[in-house]
This record gives sequence, structure tokens and C-alpha cells, in this order.
Amino acid sequence: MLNKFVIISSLFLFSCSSYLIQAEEIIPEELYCGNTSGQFLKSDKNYITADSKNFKDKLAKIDSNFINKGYNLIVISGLKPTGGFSLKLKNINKKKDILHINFIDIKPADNSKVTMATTYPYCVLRIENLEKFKISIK
Amino acid sequence: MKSISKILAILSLPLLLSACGGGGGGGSGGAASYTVTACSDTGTSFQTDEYNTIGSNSGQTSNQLSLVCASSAYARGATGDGIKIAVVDTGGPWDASGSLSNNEFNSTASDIVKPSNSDYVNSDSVPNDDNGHGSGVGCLIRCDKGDGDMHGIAYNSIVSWYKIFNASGVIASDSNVASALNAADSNDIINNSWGSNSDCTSISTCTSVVGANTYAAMKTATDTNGKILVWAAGNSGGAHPYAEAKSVLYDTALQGLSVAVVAINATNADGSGAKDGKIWSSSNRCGDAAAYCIAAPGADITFVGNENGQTFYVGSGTSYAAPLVSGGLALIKQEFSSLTNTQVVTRLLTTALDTGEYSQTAIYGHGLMNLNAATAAVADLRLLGGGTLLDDPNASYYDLANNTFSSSAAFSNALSSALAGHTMEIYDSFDGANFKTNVSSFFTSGSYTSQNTIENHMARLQPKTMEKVKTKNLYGNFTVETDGNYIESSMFQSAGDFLALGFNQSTNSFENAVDPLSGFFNDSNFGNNYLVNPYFHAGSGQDYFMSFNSNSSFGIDTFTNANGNDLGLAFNLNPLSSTSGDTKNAGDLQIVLGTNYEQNKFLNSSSTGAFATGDMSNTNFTGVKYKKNLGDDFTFVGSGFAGYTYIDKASNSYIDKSTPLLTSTFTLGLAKANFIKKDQRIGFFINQPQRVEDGSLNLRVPTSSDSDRTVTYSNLNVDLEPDARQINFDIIFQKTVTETSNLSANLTHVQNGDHSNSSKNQNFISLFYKKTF
Repeated sequence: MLNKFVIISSLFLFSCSSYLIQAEEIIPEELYCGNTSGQFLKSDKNYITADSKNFKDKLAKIDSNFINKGYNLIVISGLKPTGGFSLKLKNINKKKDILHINFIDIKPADNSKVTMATTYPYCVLRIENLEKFKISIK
Repeated sequence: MKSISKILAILSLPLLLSACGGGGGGGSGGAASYTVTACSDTGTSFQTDEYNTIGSNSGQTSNQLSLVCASSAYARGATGDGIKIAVVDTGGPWDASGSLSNNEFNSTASDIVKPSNSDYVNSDSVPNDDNGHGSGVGCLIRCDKGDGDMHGIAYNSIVSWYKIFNASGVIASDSNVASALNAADSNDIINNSWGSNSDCTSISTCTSVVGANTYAAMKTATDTNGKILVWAAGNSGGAHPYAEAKSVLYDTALQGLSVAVVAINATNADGSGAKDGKIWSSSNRCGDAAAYCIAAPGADITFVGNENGQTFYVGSGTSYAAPLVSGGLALIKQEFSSLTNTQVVTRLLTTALDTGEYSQTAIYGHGLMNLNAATAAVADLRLLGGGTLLDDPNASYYDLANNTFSSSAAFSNALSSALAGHTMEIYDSFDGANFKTNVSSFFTSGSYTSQNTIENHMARLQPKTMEKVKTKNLYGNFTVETDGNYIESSMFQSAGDFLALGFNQSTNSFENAVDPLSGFFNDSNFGNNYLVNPYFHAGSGQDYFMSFNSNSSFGIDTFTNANGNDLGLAFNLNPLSSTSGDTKNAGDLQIVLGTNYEQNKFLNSSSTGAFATGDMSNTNFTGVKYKKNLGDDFTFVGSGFAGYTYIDKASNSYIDKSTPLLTSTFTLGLAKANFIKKDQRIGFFINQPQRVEDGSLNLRVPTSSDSDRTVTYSNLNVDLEPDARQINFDIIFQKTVTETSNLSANLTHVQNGDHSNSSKNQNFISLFYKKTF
């Protein structure tokens, strides 16, 4: 009888613990994805946050109208040989103090017609309280 | 000199063969031999910060223009002015409402065109660029010059955008792309910085990859409408261009008008590339399509970035090499209006820099675009011999060096003034490319005053050193003047003076009668041969004279020279003669009526080639000569001549027609012997050298030509009457000091030299003393 109690209690506690660390999905307040031919998005990191010193400059180079839209994150896919590549936001999960931001790299279909310039697919996002989190992008 | 293999590659283009087939006529023919000028970027005044993309907004350096020597083309006036280029891409520099959204394109908005229904993505008339690629491509062609930022390679061209990609880079349907290409046919050049990410190996596979409708539109553009298609080769680093660019290899309907473009690294750029001028690592190579392929800078290239503001980017891709080639083609097309689009492409490919690194045809095709050579003469230049069709098999041509006109000083001033500022066309024997040159460059002006040299004055005053030998026999007198071993002149006068034969010596009775005064009258090099018939153009060094004198009152003079270029005949009437007893005090008077024929010249103005005159230009002239001794010491002389010259037209000559030329010359003189002292003589003379008083000729010179190979001529009417009248005032003094020494002096004042009111007066004082030991 005692053993049964211990097992049931353990299962209960475990289920409570599991419930406490489950990720919360975040919906960005603003999101825009595109690609650019400029090398200005060449970066060792795959994202740039608003507290970076050249964030505004890069945002303006993407589109000068973006400056006043409160974007606070630029996500970069890396150099692609042609146009036709893009990023698509899969989801954003908040786990403790980490935002897990997941993107899908979309390639042009085989034999598809594309512009013949190198591009940097990107997404710009506005996420509430972004500065309070660590960022992990996949 | 290019390699034989390259020549064969060029000649293999079927359309080129047909274009060059009629080079003919009397010229040097087609594209057998040519020389390509080095890629020297020499237009220094065009090498501005904008040229090097160092603008206040661009903020970075890139030598994409200097690498292809664009400034050399600009210096020749080739900026793409008026040439229409289509950019089939992601759209152009407008916002969705149709307002121009990028200041880099707004200096001449009429040259930035959004054609009706040109958005094949959204089916509207505003091809706004919501991606940025099309604006960047367009900027490389036509970003404004003069606003402080970078400018495009063909900054005066007219660019129209046709939108076939959306913001995400997704292309419109095959049928819509075909429609866009068909619409773009209203332009001269269609830039395509896009393509399929796939190779093809035959017409059928190319059609399949490209899309049937798009492929058909490509053929319509080239084969039906004769437009130029420029294709980016692709960015996979492959051995051959992608399907759209490679189709030209298999389909003759595309050949001659479809160009594939590979990208090289810029050598002085702010980007992170190799900066070595070699093939960009990700660029497809020319490969099997080498005969239709060329290289241009495409890596680390500066261009305007997006539709909003003036953001400049540095980027890479064959996308950016293609518009530089499209712009280069525009420069060639503007510079040479006589070229067909096929010939424009051929010239681009032929003149590419193909030495060193760029000699690897499998990589670079014809080599690196070289706009210095492309806008310069490739082969010998020549003049069209009067025809109107450059490719007419019967057209005749004159080599450039064989066209001259050496004008008489009687009208050279008027001719120079009339020709100033006028240009005409000459043609490259390689392809008939039309070049402008000054009409005056073929003309050499004769000058009286240029003979007013110290040497000539001294020669005039110097007593003759020639040895004169006179013999007399039963048949007459024979006189020979020699200078060393050479016979300078000779004359035979038959007994009774019935016949006179002269070599470099006039046999005119009047002129010889005043021979003792020849030191004053007849021995001048600068236009004042006072008493000599000016229409017998002696002085060739082998002049032959023959005269028949029936009696003292009538005679006939004939004249010719060794080349037979001149044939003159004059009738002399001598109504007054000092040897005639009843008119002794009346002096000597001779009235001359004559005619002179000149072969390939008139008024001693010789010409060749396209400016030649006919075999029988004719001058009818009359003249009066008078001499009278006034007392024992004074002698008065006077002469005047006038003539009408009829210019014989040569076939195919640019001297189209003319009115008769009225000319005149006169001399008045007074000489005194025993001036102050015995053995001193002085003479005063006033003289007008030969001058055209009235008359004109019409030059009909080629001034423009069209891509249908038709040449248009323009009339250039030249009034040959000079704007002033040259008058020479002459004082000559001679003194015999001793039997072995002479002193001579001369003061000459020339007013309106060469009959020009812009000539400064000339004054000469000469003093000559000679003593023989």
C-alpha cells in the first residue's frame, strides 16, 4: 500500500515538474521576411539585436521605412548564390530566459528561374521584451 | 593582332557573314585583319568620384567602370545617349503608387520608363521593385551622373523596367515572362540578370528548361525583331552558362544577337572578394558557349540597393556583370549608328581583352569587355566613294590616306573658313562603323605668305649663280642655264624668232623682252610673279613651253609639263611694240587670250580620292601686259589677268558641283636705272596675287548613317571668295659695287596675307652683299 502511494505521489510530482518547464510559444508583434543582395548582412552571427551598434544602419539598408517600426531583431540566413532563397519563421518558444527562434530555410525549386545575384535572406522581427532573453536561433 | 582561332570564331557567326559579305568595291574588303586597342582607361576628365563610385551616399570604392575602360568611350562621346535598354527583372525604382522612389534615377525622369502594363506579376502598369534586384541592375546601367553618387555605365541611355519577379524572387508564369520579353522588344537591348538554375544540351532540352513560351519570345526578340539579348551566365560556378544563356549555342535564331556574361572580381573594391580581376568563384564559365560569351566585373560591385532612399550596396553575381555589358553595347550602338545590332554584338566580342588571364576562352569566352577598343577603329578607316549603301557590293572605298585636297592660296582662306567646324563620316573597314572627322582634315591650305621666308628673300636678291651658255648658228639661238651638272633651263629661238622652245623657261615674247628686269619682276617665290601668265602653272621643274610668232604682232604660246597635268594655249596680240618705228613711244603692249586644261586639279589645286576633280578642269583667261620706258632711266610695267575656271567633276567625288570661278591678278611697277648713282637701280611695285573674285563649289559629304547601312550625305556649299585682298608693296634696290661685288636690298610689306583679313601685316627688310674672289 505504501509502495503504491510512493509511486502515485512520484508520478504526480513528476507531472507537476514537467508542466512547470514546458515552453511557451511567442508570437512576434511584427515580422517581415525577404532577401537582400547587399553584403552588409554578411555576419558571423545569424542574428543582430537592437542593442548592437550597427543595428539601425543595417535595418535602414534593408528598408529605410523599417527604422520607425520598432523592429528589434534581424535574423540572417547567410550568403546564397542567387535569388529565390528565403527564410520562414517556424515558431518562437520561450523556455526560462531563452527564446528559441526556429526558421525554415526555403530553397528555390530545381530548374526554377532566379535572379543571378548573391542574396542574404533575412527576417526582421519585433518581439516584446526581447532584451530580457537570451536568443537561440535554428 | 588577334588569334586566327578567334577570327574564325567570329566569322562563324552566320549573321556576321551576311553582314560583312558586301564590304567590297574598291576598298580593302571585310574583316580579314584587325587590331584591337589595349584597354587603356584614358578619359581622365570622366574619371570622377562618381565614376569610381565614391559618392557621398555610395561611400565605397569600386572600379567596375575603369576595368572595362568606360571613360575612354565617354571621351569619344559614347554615353548610351538615346539607346533603349530593357531591364526584365524585379521591377524598377518606383513605389507601389508609381512615384519615383529613388533619387539616383531622377535627374532625367523621361529616361526612366515604366511602360504600360509592365508589371507581369501584379498585372498593372507600375513595375515597382519590392525586391531591390531590378533597381540595382538598372543602376549599373543608368544611375544618374552629376548628383555626387555613382553613375551607371550608360548614364544617358533610356531604361525601361519589366517586372517578372515578386518580392520573394518568385517568377511570373512562362506565358507572362514571354509577354514581358515580347513587350521589351520595343527596346534595343534586353538585359536579363536571371535564368534557370539548369544546363541544357540541345534546342529541345533548352526549350524545356527555359519554358516553351519564354523560349519562343527569345527567338522572336532576336530572329524576328533583331534585338540584343544579354544573359547572366549563372552563379553556380558551373562550366557552362545556364540554359537561357546557353541556348545560343544550339539555335541559329539566337546567334549573333544573344550574349552570355560571366563575372570577374573587381580589383579595387570595398567588398570582401578576391580583388584579382579573375573569374568570380561562383560565376558560371563560358564553356561551350565561349563564342557567344564575354566577361565583365560582377563581384564586389557597387550599386543602389533598394527602392527606398539612396542606399548603396556592394554585391556579387553575374546579375551585375550583365548590365555592364548591356550598357557597353549601348555605348557602341550610340557611337556607331551605322552598325546593325548584330555588328554591335560582334564589335563588343571582337574587341574584348583576350590576353593573359583572359585568353582562357573556356572561362572568359572572348575575354574582358574593353570599351576603349570597342569605340575605336578596329581596322583601317576609309571613305565611301559616293555610294549610299555601306554593304553595296558595287560600293567603292578610298583608303583614308588617299584623300587629299591641296588648295591654291587664291581661295584657301575662304575654303578654310567655310570648312571650319564641319564634320563628315569615315568608316571602319572591319564593319563599316562610322567615325566623325573634320572635313578640313583632308585639306591643305596653300599660302603665299608662308613663302615670305628669309631664305626666299635672300634667294631673290642673290645674283644668279647659274652658268649661262649661249650658242648661235644658222638655225637660231640656243641658251642653256646650268647649275652644277643640272640643266636648270634652256631655250631655243629659231632664226627670225618664228619658233621658240623652252624648258623651264617661258617662251612668251613679252616676258622675255623684259628679261633684263627679271631681277625685279619675274623671280619671286611669294605670289608676285609680276608679268608672268598666272594660268600657266609653271614650277614643276619640268615645264615645257613652245611659241609660234608669226610676226611682231601675233603669237601663240603653249605650255605643258612632264606629267602632262597641264595643257595651255594662249594667243598673244601685240598691238604696240617699242621696236616698231611708228609706235616707238607707245611702249609694249600684249593682250593675251588663252585657255588651260588641268588634269585632276584646278587653279593648281590638286586633289585625290574622294575629293578628286576630273581630268579636264578648264580655265579661260585673258590678260594685258604693258611696259613703257619713260625717258632713259624709268620703266613702267603693268599687267592684269582674269580668268574663268570650270571645275570638271570626277565620278564619286565629294566635290559635287561648282560655279565658274572668276579669278584676278594684277601688278603695277616702276623701275629706275642710275638711281642717284650710276649702276644703282630701284624698283617700286604693287601686286595682287591671284585671287578668286567669285565662285563656289558644293561639297557633298557623308554625315550620318543608319543601322540599315544607309548613308546620308549633306551639302556643304563653299563660297571660295576670300574675305580680303592681299596686296604686296615692294621696293627693291640693286647696286653694282664693283665688277665682282653686288649689293641688294629689299623692303616688302604684305597686307591681308593670303587674302585674309585676319592676317597680320608682314614687313620684311633684306640686305644682301656678295663679293666674288
